[in-house]
Amino acid sequence: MNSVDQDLRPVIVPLDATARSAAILPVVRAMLELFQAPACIVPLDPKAATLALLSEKLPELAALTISDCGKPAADPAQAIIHAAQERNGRGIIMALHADPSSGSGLEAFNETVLREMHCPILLIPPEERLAEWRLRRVVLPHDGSPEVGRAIRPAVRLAERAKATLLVLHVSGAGPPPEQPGSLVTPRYIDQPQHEWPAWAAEFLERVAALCGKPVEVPMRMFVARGEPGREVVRFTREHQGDLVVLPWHCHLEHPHALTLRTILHDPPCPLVMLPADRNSETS
Amino acid sequence: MDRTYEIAPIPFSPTADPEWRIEESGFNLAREHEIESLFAIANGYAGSRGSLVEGSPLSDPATYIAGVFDTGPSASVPELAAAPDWMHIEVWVDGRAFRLEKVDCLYHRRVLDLRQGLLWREFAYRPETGGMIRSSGFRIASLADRHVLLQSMLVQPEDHFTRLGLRLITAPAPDRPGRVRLAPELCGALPEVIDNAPQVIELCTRHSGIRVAMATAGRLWVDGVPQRPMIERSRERLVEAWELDIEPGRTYRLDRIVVIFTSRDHPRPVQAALRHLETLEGQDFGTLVEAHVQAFERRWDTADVVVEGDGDAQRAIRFAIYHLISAANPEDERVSIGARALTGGAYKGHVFWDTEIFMLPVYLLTHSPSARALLMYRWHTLPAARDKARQLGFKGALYAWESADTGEETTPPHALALDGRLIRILNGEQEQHIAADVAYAVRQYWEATGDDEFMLEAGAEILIETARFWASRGRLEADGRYHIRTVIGPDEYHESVDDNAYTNGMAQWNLESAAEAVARLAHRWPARWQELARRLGVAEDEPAGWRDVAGRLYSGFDPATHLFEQFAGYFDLEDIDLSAYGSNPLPMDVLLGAERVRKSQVIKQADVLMLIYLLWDRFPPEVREANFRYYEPRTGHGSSLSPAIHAALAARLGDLTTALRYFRQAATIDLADNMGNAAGGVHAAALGGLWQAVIFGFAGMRLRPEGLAFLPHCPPDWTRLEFPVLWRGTELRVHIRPGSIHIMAVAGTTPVPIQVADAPAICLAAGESRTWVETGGIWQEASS
Repeated sequence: MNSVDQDLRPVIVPLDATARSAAILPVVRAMLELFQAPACIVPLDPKAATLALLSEKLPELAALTISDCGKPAADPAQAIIHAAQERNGRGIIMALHADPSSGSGLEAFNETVLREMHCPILLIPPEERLAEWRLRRVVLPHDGSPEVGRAIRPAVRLAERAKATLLVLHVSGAGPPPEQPGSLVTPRYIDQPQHEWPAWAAEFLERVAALCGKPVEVPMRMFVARGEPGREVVRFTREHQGDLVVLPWHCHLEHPHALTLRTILHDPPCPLVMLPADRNSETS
Repeated sequence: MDRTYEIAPIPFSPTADPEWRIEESGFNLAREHEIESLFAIANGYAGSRGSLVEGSPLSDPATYIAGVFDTGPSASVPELAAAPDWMHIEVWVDGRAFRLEKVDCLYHRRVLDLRQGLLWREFAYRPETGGMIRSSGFRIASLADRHVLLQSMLVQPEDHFTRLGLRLITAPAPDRPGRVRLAPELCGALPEVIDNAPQVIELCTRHSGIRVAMATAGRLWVDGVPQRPMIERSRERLVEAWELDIEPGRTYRLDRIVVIFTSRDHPRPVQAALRHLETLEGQDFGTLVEAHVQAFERRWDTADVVVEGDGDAQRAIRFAIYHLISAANPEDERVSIGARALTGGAYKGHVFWDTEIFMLPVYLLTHSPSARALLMYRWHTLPAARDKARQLGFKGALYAWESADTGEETTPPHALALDGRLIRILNGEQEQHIAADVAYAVRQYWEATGDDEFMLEAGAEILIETARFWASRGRLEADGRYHIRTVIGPDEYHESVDDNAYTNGMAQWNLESAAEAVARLAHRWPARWQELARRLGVAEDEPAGWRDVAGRLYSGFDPATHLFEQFAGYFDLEDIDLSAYGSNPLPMDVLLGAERVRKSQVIKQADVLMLIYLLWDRFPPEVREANFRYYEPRTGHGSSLSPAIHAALAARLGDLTTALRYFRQAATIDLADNMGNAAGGVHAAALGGLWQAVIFGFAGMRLRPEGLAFLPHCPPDWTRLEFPVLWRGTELRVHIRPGSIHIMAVAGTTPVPIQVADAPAICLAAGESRTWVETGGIWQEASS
């Protein structure tokens, strides 16, 4: 999901013939339109291993621009990874397969793809309201670190294409604040709230915008919550009717990593896009 | 002093001593706003952020001029208007503009030279077309001539480059959301003189009617030979440009002189700026720089604090003094110092109690003209303070909690919290202790300087009018006591409280102090007092009335426990153990929620302890100790003003572990940016507090009407603490080493009464010195 408009690389979309796959298609379609990218469909169901067979089960596929079709494999995760690597996929869009008993809240094949593929991955939980899904409000949980600031660039560009509003959410009070130089966290001293909060919010949003590399051309609003970040992101997204949550992450799902991400995956409020954060680009 | 004149291409270099330098190496875009604040240069008249000259995606190259306030189209209160950006330099190599974030930079370093008061920068990079260019340079807000700003940049190519472009640009400050800025289109018709003077632009405020002229002259020297610039000029923008081929082995130096005048200081600022620039252009650039460095050196002579054995503390205290020297203008008594001085736009340039209680002591004891000017600002704004008292139904004068140029209340009435709630801001109505805070500073100034003329001209009027306010503010109730209800004390977590101990204690002091001052004036200058009393309508029995209110003002003190109750009902609130939250860096009202904090004993900053700190000699040791031990664990330090005062108090009490912990916390507020909000400017009051923690805390110095008192409690690692003090025109040097204190009167005509601990007081005249030593906790004069 690059910001290069002329990028013709496909987005990898694994599907089977189930209702769950059918449910995510409105989101897939909207995202492909936003990126003006074709889809590479990866069949996950051996009984519908070709595009033609899949299309019989999922007539909505006809509305998508499809470049080609990946090869089915015994292991769905490997099929997705293979397709993404072979086609240099811009990203992966797939249904979220929940498994509350797992540490991540995901079924193993979801988990494997997340762990193996360091590209943007959009996970779509099955919801009834997806039929009318549109990208209007993008929730950007942000810990204030420059690393996250850089990681969210693609999401900001996505919001711009959709003319969506960015709701930047900073959650404080749980763990230690990021220690990277240039991090901006909830201020330790609020001498006069009538000055401190507006100045701090403006500063936060300015840094978000500056680290995106070019001016942000959609409205941005700043919010602060306190508590456990994962729960707060879920609560906030539901309260503000977020359509997409952007989650920079370090590609480690196992404990003790990605606590916030795992909490959200257990109770996803809407589609989630996971963007790999690059630890090596802190300073230049 | 480490100054290297022999580097010919550029007249100055930064001092090499790490204890006089704040250094930032490399480049981290996200930190840029913080660096701009910390590395700001200022001279009390104008201040400029330490922005990269070429700009970056996160540069905010603002310049602020003291007193130039304006109200924006959507703003409810005035704020400092951003002046034109005079620092901008575009460097073009082979048709590409230099931008730090886009080039292959070999090294990049910025140094704030505290000693010389200059911002230094050096870097080397490889242009895309190959080769290498080195550059270095500095920026100054002249302390020798406050209308002058200076900039110099050296370009040293290591290879041949064709078409190097240099463009010095002076233009209105970049537009940012919510920013109020000076603009040329607000000036109306152009003064005729501008048509014939390509090196000046004029900009104006929208509502306050202030005109600002900025004249600039750039010179490019190639191997010492000046090159004429091409000048591009429009109404809002002035560009001086050069284009040339550059070669290795030759030096290319760009100097820029900028002059600012405003209609606040001259009726025709454009003409004044041009005339001044013309005078300066006839002088050697190095001479202008040298004059500034010498002016800074003179200030350090009476201000430097030497901490031997603790490099971090040394650098932090010099950083604090640097910014405080830079913040004040003794030549303008109609401006004061805002919460972020002239280093950033946060707090809108508004003036709080910060100035009188936290910053003023630094000036009082190192540069009294600056202290006088700050207090005269309060005298000039008395009419607005009288209006505020009257509007609230009281007599006398109540200073605005936040003020700008006129002294009218400028506290925003509402604020939008980040959870989306609209919060009503009550400080403008209820945080009234500022009246006594200003009075306290007036009295402190009088005692420290003996400036009777100030007292007769202005100080007495402030004392009288603030005393009148408190006399009308207290209400005599059925218990036979006066009460002050519905206020906010320094602990702003608790609003609309009754009988706040700090407010009542300081009000009581204000009333007594005014009565005492009036008696002294009437005795020493009967004729002038009669004239003043007639002008202010002071009845003969009015001071007795002040004493009566003071004597019967409720204090909240319990002799059984030695504790002051912070306000009525405070002891009944939930007692939360803050130690359970460890070192969580969040303010407690964010962590626990404002409502829970309001119903608890958690406090934001020193409140009762602030009273104890300011009126130390009024309280016996057991009261100081009991209150510190009670309130310190309940303080969340949600204000940047709090840690330094706790450091000072703990030091005075001899608790050096606690004192050093708070000192370190205070020292890193800006330098470590551990609060995430230095981006909007340095915390000027916290810097003043840091100085107080050293002088009034570790050195244990106290100002008394009869002279100075000392009781040192220095950290064991501090092998030497040395500082100057000005007392009634006499300059003292104080040297503290473990177990001894040596004080010398260097110059001056007034002998200074000095008492060290409980040793007999002595009087020190110019040329004399004394040493005291401590043995088993007892201080004795060594020579006796």
